[in-house]
Amino acid sequence: MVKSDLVRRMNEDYVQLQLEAARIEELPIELEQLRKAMEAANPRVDFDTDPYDFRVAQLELAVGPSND
Amino acid sequence: MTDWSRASLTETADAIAAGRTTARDVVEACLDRIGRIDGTLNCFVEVDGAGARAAADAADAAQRQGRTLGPLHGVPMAHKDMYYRQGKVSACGSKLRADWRAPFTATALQRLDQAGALDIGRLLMVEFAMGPHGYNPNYPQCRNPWNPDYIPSGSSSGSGVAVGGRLVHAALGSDTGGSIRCPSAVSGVTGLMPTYGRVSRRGAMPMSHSFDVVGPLARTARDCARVLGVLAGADPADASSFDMPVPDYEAALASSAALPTIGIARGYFDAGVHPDVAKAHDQAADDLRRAGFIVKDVALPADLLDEIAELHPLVMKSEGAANHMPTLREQEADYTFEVGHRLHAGFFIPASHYIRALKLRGHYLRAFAKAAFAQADLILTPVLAIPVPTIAETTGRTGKAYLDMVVAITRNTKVINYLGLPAMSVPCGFTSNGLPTSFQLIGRPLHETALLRAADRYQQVTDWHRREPKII
Repeated sequence: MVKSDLVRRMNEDYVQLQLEAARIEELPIELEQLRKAMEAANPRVDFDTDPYDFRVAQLELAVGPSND
Repeated sequence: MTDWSRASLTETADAIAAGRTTARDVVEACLDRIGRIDGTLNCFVEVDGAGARAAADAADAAQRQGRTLGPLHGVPMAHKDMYYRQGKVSACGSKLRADWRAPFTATALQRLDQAGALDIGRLLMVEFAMGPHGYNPNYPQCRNPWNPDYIPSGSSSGSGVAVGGRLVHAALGSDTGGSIRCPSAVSGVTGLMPTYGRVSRRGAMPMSHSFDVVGPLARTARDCARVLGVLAGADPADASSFDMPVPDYEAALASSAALPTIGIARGYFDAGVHPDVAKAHDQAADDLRRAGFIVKDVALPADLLDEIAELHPLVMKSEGAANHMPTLREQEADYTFEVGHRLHAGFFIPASHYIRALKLRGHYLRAFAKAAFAQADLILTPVLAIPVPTIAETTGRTGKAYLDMVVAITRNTKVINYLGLPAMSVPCGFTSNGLPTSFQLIGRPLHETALLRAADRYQQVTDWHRREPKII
């Protein structure tokens, strides 16, 4: 769970990034959504897959029925 | 006498080539309309009238001298203010780059120049291409040509408005989450987001390098085919570009190959569709059948698409924050409130999450393709599931309300960026507020020909793309 205190502490590490107080309260809502999204998808991640597999998939699928 | 500024790009280019009009006459007609109505629409950041006239005269002189003409010879275009031209300002919608001059020219602009297109100005965009509503507090309010109280959508706001308002024949946009398709849809023009990697992004301002795609907004599918034929192809300076043959997209429109089967998306894309939008899309399905297509429902896995929709911002914000880290630290006051805030989340996303989201792209692409393209060659969805909102309905929101507005506009488009698939926005009617609504066609990677054939055939039996806003 991402809470505002965590955002505040992380922000202090980004010395020159000055988040407004209101944003520090607001950001955890957005960050929690993103964290949940990745947590939900985590079981689908294959250890042996690298990000360039995406280009392999594009090329595989480019070979399909031609309606050209 | 024909007003060529109101004709399509291909009709106009062909008329110039045949000597039925001149580049100078076409440019004058466009400049005249810009002078009359851009004070209301505010879609241009800069109009280079003198440069446009000089370029048009040079184009006409070249023709008189019998030189070989490119496929876009003498046609006025203008582009989203994020395409670099050596020595010229490319402000990217920002204060930070208000006076920044590009050190080199974008590959896309080089190819358009070589094809004979005229570049008559810079078009408004959302600051650093981050925001789907289309406005930018750094400039006068850009407005929808069909009704100035409504959003132009973005981030390629000026591109959609300039083409829809008949100020130029076509424009480059860029698409990271819907920024070609949404502005096309709300301005009633035809937009093409090619496959990720089909068009070089060299010299186009980066927003999110995993998703950014360069493509045209124009008046017809045939226009998009001609422009894509100029733009597409490998670029040694862009490692993401495909080194694969480029088809003759325009010639393929007349192909006798079997028409692609069209699947109406059921699942995810049909959630929350407004009745006005649903009615127009049902009619579009009937019109497609009348045009000879087999159209059938295709069940898509909503849970899978929901996951993709939530991973898209994780990648986009991580990459956006990385691009802007130094300037956000040193010059945050020069960012607008909204865009500066949108980037903040990217600083707090763990690198491990970002990389895992990228590792999943191939998996999701195969899974989507297995569900979709096993049943149909093309998938049809609404671009926006809702009628175009007013400026007042989308201005001044922060926090969750803002995020909800972003989701409402980009829900059906951003998932396609994550998948890297080509997609088009095609006008298909109007909602009860008098604003256009459009359908999205999605195809297999590198199958732009199928998309263009379907859209062109649809436009042969309908005239939505020919409708003009009263303001012109």
